[in-house]
Amino acid sequence: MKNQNGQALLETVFALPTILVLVGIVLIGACRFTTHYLMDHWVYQSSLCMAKEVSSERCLRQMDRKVQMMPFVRYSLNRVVVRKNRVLIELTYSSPVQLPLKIIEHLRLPITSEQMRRSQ
Amino acid sequence: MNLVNSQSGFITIAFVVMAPLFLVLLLGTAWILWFLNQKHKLDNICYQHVLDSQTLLIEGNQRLLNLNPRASLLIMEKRALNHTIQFGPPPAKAVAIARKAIVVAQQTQLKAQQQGILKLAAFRSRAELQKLKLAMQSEAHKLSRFWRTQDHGRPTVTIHWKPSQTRVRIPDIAPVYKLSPQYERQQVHFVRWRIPIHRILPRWLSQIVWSEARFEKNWYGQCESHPHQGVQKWHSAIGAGKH
Repeated sequence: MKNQNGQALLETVFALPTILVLVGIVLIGACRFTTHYLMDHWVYQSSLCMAKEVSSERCLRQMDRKVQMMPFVRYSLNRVVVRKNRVLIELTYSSPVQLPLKIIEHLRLPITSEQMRRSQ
Repeated sequence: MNLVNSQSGFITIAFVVMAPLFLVLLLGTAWILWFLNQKHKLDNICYQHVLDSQTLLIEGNQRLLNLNPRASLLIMEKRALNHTIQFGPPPAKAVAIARKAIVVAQQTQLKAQQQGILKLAAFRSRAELQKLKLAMQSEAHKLSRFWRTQDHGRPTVTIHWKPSQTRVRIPDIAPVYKLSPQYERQQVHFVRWRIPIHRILPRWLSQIVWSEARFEKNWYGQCESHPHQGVQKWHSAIGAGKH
């Protein structure tokens, strides 16, 4: 009986870190995936906002407000280009579980209804 | 045998503790992605139709303006004929009167053509926005089918449609037209939509989402389009014109 208890304890000591590592990997993976998806979505929304001829300051402020909902995410804008024929936003974001990653959103103007149909 | 029991006990406990965590995590992630994806799709449907509607009106305006050279030619000819009728010698006057009747007939025909272009463009543009209503309804129906709920979530689509913003530059039977000042801001099409998502989702999910997460019960969206001057011609663009 004592032997068996010892066996179970030993197994726990070895198995627990493995399980924790696995859980950690899944949690970090889900967190990274969701963060990237949300950042990508918000950058796209921001570039769409600029394509509507709204001032870039206002659009970036809206995006910043949304990113603030994830307090662990830090980002820096590398490039914002608003021209008659294109809108480009390039930013780098990072989080405690994510090395710096770049997102580039490039919209060619005018946006046609065909583009909207294709991205549905 | 005991050893086996002890192992399965540990795995069971680990599974019981971890499984709900994984499940909540996966469902939460899937929910956020699904939510954003569907909203994105509905936004794009809105923009697609509102851009098409604007394009139809712009094309109509362009066709109307293309008739301007002919309209001004007829106006000038009529003025010259009027002058001849007023001050010309009697034989020339008779010819001028006969010619004027032809010019007036041509102007009446041109006017019908101009009105036809304006009405057809307006009709097709409005029809495109009606298609948007149908597309929104169809999407709401698809969502209901996806969640196997009854189709209570009928979308509300409010359309602010503006007719062709052209003005008469030279008035006559068949006038010469021009684009109205601030054409970009005047001819804006604006659509606001709302889908009661809490009625589309199944009750169990609605309760979780709205009692715990306090998400909005409706999906709101708006889209607008305006004419934008390109390098060679006008085209439709998203937004409400220059701010």
